[in-house]
Amino acid sequence: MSLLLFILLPLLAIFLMPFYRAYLHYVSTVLSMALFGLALTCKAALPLVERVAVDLPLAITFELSSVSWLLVTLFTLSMSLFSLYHLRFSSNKALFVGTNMLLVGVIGLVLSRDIFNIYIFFEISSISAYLLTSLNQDAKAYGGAIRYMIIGAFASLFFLLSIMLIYLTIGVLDLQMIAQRFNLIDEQVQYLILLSLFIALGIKTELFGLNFWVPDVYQASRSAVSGLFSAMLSKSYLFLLFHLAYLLHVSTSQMAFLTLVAALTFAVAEFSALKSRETKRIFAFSTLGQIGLIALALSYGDTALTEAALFLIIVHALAKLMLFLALDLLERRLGSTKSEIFARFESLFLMAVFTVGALSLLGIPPFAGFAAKLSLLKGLAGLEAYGAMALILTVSLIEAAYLFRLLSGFRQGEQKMVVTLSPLERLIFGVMMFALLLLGLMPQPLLALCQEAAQAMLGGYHAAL
Amino acid sequence: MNLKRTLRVETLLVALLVSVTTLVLMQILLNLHLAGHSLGDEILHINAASTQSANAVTSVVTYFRGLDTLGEVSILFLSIFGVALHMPRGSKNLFSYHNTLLYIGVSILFPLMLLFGVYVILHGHLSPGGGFQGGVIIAGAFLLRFLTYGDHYELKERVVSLSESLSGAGFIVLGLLGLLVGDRIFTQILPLGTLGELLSGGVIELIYIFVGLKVSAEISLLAEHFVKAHNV
Repeated sequence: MSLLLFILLPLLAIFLMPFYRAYLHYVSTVLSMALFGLALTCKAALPLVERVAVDLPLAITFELSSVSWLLVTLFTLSMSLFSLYHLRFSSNKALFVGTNMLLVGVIGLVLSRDIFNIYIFFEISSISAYLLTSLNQDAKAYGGAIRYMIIGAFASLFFLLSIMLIYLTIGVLDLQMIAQRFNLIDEQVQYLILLSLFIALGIKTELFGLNFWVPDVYQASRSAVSGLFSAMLSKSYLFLLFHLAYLLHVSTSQMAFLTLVAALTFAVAEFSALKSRETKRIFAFSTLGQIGLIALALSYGDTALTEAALFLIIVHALAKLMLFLALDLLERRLGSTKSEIFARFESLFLMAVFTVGALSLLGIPPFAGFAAKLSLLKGLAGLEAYGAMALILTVSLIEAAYLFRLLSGFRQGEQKMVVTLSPLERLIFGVMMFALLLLGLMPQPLLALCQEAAQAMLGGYHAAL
Repeated sequence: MNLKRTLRVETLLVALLVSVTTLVLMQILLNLHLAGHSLGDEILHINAASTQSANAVTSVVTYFRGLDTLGEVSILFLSIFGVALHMPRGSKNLFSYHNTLLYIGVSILFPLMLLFGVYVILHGHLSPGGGFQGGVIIAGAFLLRFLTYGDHYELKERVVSLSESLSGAGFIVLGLLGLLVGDRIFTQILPLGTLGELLSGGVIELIYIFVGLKVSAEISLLAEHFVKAHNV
């Protein structure tokens, strides 16, 4: 089985679009589910390494390790759920192209082991994200998309600068070969490369200081699309940032800098969510907060914490996709995403969806978020990082404040609109809620996969330090 | 003149930051120790044996880094799709020049430009040029027609859409065939031929034909969207 199928099949489906213009939603669903199935079948053969066209040092290498497998499976699953949710709407060309190109981009980002090839997927995922942000075709959507495009152009510029410096000084593009020779180049150039990569990927990962644009983009996008950004886009860049950091053996002081930035991302985002009164913005800030938390765990370069971070990536992607899809449903019915809408609808099922999602984000048992935060705190305790533990526990209180304030809306309001869900919608949300509950009650199988993935991701990082 | 009023502190700070960063960058770049060898040397070394293409740049673009090119084609498609989505075509051509001289000139130039575009695409593995350049030349010919014929000329949407779709799909199918026949994408499934001859380079020529078709269709479409932009 070739790993390139994950890239070629969606691209083929996009290019052949004129032949099934009226059935794009069905094609998207079948395609994403087929890719999800394909990812599952690859598990037995891990790790898979594939070279394109010729041998090293010229070849572009694709690698499906335990960690990239976990992410590819997560992305294809998220896309399957997203496509299933959109089955009841009519065929939409822009949504089909944007989402499937986004899938190609994020899968390429985690599979490719060639820095220039990664840049190609960086651009594919960026341009499809701009397209998806502007889908609503109103002033807010265009404003968000243009802002995203400008900041994205800066990220591309810095990424290209790092590629140029790498190629000029090391002479190769393969990540493994770059890692072997990175320490041999001038120290100043090393710093410049790392700084450029940090700015480029920091913007895309949505880290503190480089993430001021995120809430506007999430607010400008359709809620369901924001869910996809949260589940796939930010996660792929988060992986790429730390994969490169481990591979290039960044020093402990540079990792400490990442820890600081991650902690600030986490704290500032959660405080900002507390001030916001718009649900989409609250969820956007919450996403930023969780990204900060994941980055904080990854920045220690420790196996137990990386395992917890990977678990949190999956749990957060599922919970946030579910919340954004539910919000999309409400937005379509009530025409707003202000936090007051929670007092304007009546649907026990949707209330359960929002409650399960919020409780999982908070880390309340028996939901998956609890298992994720527990393993995170255990990992930090193992390293005696009591400051980080205190920060997580304190900021979680702020998280609880705004999420419970949001949920308390259910009890307010008198004239409520009854929102009914189709059987398919009930099935999608039901599966997601069940997954969050199951992963909370029985986290061990997924934690074992995450442990394997953490070891693959860290590679020889410890040994080098 | 009050300097405080004309230049804001933020502007001065940004200018200072940019200047310092530029100086630091220049200092590092001027003292850069370049790598002893680059991939270029390796490519020149194995190019003839693996592709029989006289133009090594083309070998890199279509064969050694064919996957990157497929990505670039996708980026171009995505960008033009975005423009077309947000800039719907109107019926009125905004750049109509009713000029007899232009009409006669374009009548002569149009077929010549098409021919030249096709020549550049087909000779991409022999001389500077290829699918991207040839495709843009062909699109340039259509742009001239838009300027000359005004509202009376429009692209046949179905034809453009089909050529764009099939050429993109053809590029991918070629890659899939490579995976099926060999174990790599863009495996040389066609005879390599003799270096310097028109029929040489194996799959390279086919890739450039697909790229040329796709680029010409997309850039022509882009040109039409700009000259017939709705609500400008």
